[in-house]
Parts: sequence; C-alpha cells; structure tokens
Amino acid sequence: MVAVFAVFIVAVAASCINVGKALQKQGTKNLPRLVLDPKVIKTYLSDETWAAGMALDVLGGLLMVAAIARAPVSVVQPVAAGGVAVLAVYSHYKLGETLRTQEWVGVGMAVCGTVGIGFNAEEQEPAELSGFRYLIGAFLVAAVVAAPGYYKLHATKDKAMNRLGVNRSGKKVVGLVGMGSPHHLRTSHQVGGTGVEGGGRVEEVFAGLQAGTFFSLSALACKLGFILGARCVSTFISIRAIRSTDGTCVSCTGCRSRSCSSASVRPWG
Amino acid sequence: MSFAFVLLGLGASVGLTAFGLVCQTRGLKDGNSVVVCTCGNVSQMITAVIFGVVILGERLPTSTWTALRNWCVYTLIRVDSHYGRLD
Repeated sequence: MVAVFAVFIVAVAASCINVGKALQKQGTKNLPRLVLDPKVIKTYLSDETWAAGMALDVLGGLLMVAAIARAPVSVVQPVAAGGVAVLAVYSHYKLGETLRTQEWVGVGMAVCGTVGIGFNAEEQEPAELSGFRYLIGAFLVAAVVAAPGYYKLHATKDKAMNRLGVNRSGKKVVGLVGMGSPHHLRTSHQVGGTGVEGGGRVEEVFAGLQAGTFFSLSALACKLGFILGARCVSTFISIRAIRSTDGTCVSCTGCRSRSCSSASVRPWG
Repeated sequence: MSFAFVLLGLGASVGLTAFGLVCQTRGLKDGNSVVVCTCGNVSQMITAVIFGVVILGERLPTSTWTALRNWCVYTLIRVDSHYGRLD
C-alpha cells in the first residue's frame, strides 16, 4: 500500500516538474543563454514565468524525495519518466501546441504505463550494500556520466568531417559531401525566429540525456543517504541494547538493521 | 551519524539535480523542449532501473506474469516518449 501511495506522490511530483519545465521553456524565450554568471542567474530569477516554473520544479523534486524514501528507485523513476504525458497535455491546452492523434495515443499509453507500475509495485526490504556493489556502482556511474560526452564528441567530430567532405580516416569522399549535416545532427529549429541557429539536435539530445542521468543519480544519492542513515540508526540501537544486557558480548561485525538484535547478542559462557 | 548520512545524501542529491537543471535549461534554451524532455525522461528511466537493480539491490518482479506486466508498462512509457516526437 505504501508503494502504491509513493507511486501516486511521484505522479503528482512528475506533473509539477513537467509543468514547471514548460513554464521555464516559456520564460527562457526572452532570456539570455544560461551561464554560471551571477548577472545572468539574477536575470533568470527575476523573470516571473521562469521563477514560477523553477518553483514548481523544486516542489516536484521535494515530493520526489518523499517518494524515494518510501519506494524503490526502479519503481519511482519510470513513473517520473511518464510525466512527459502531463507536459504534452499542458502544452496542448496552455501553450497552444496542438497534439496530433498519435500523440494523444502516446499520452494514453503513458497513463496506462504509470497505472500499471502502481499496480505492480511491491514492498521491498533494502538489500545489503556490499563493497562489490559499491565498486560496480562506481564504474556504472562513471560510465553513464561519461557516455553522453563521448557521444557528443564523436557526433561533433562527424559533423565537422561531414562539412569538410572527409571520412573518419581523413580521406576525401565523393558523393553527397559538403551538402550539410546528416538528419540527426541538423539544428531542429532556429532560436526565436531571429535567424540565429540553436545548438543543433546533437546538443538537444546531449542536454536531455545528461539531465536525465543527473536526475537519476540524484535519486540514487538520496536513496543511498536514507538507507545508510537507517542502517546506522539501527546499528546504534542494537549496540546500546547489547551493552545494556548483562552477561553478553558485543558482536556487531556485519550487524544489519532488522536481524541485528537477535543475531549479534550471544551469551558468553 | 545517521543524520549526517541523510544530509550527505540530500546534499549530493541537490547538487546533482542542480547539474541536471543546468543541462536541461541549456537544452531548453537552444532546442526543442519535447526532444530535450523525451531524451531526459528515457535516460532517467533506464539509468534508474539499472542503478536500482545493480547498486541498491532492488528486486525486479520475480513471478513471470508480474515481470511480463512490468516490462509491458516500461515499454508503454518508453514508446510514449518516442511516439511521434523524434520525427
């Protein structure tokens, strides 16, 4: 039941986050490109639409933390990903971006998927976090953080070579060379109708992938904090219980939260 | 000590979210919001399941029927994210 409630909280959080994103997008139309410069950040914060979007985004993030504390990350995040459906509906009614039939079908599928995850959600006890898991995790985190950068580097290199009319080995190629970039590298739109090119599809895809990975890592860090915190509390309580018991020895090596009090208290002689 | 772990986790979470927001805002500024959000959601979903199972030891559903239903709903959300958006 707790997991189902957590899925409901995530659905609300995802709605806040996605509507927030839409508002931020609206706000950025009249704002300069975001760089870590106090003046630029101040300009962003003083824009009401962008600030409202960011506030909704933060509220959604807090709700997400509450959900992560109660349900597995592998349940919470897929539900959060389904929030794109809310974004689509909001864009249709508020931003005037008309949805086509197939997009409405997509929205329906996301809703079904989210309800399905809620239906399948199970209560789970936290697993033991071994050194091996940390090691694998460190490699995995490094890999997913580096992957978008690697993709971007190669895609940008290919784009530059395509413009020069050479292949990866540096040889001139004949045919439709120098005719522009391939489809997946094309700029998807121009910024604000000013004729200034945007960052291109590579940039968009890269930004999206990297943002998603960081949000995922954020949830992971949060969940790890809760798990380690809970483990530490239960270990402390167990040690106190053992010390207060006469004729027992303290044996807390490998002490774990739920089985500790019974398993580690051993009569001595 | 336990409170420190929770604070550390929340602090790291806030920092990583901030990195994510910077990436996302750059993407939204330069590109199409649907492409940015779709790519973000798909990568968020896939990496979260991998992190959950590999690092946190979360269980995917054990019974065949539940597992099948779970993969169906993941597919529904993924298909929705792609459907008619990256054309």
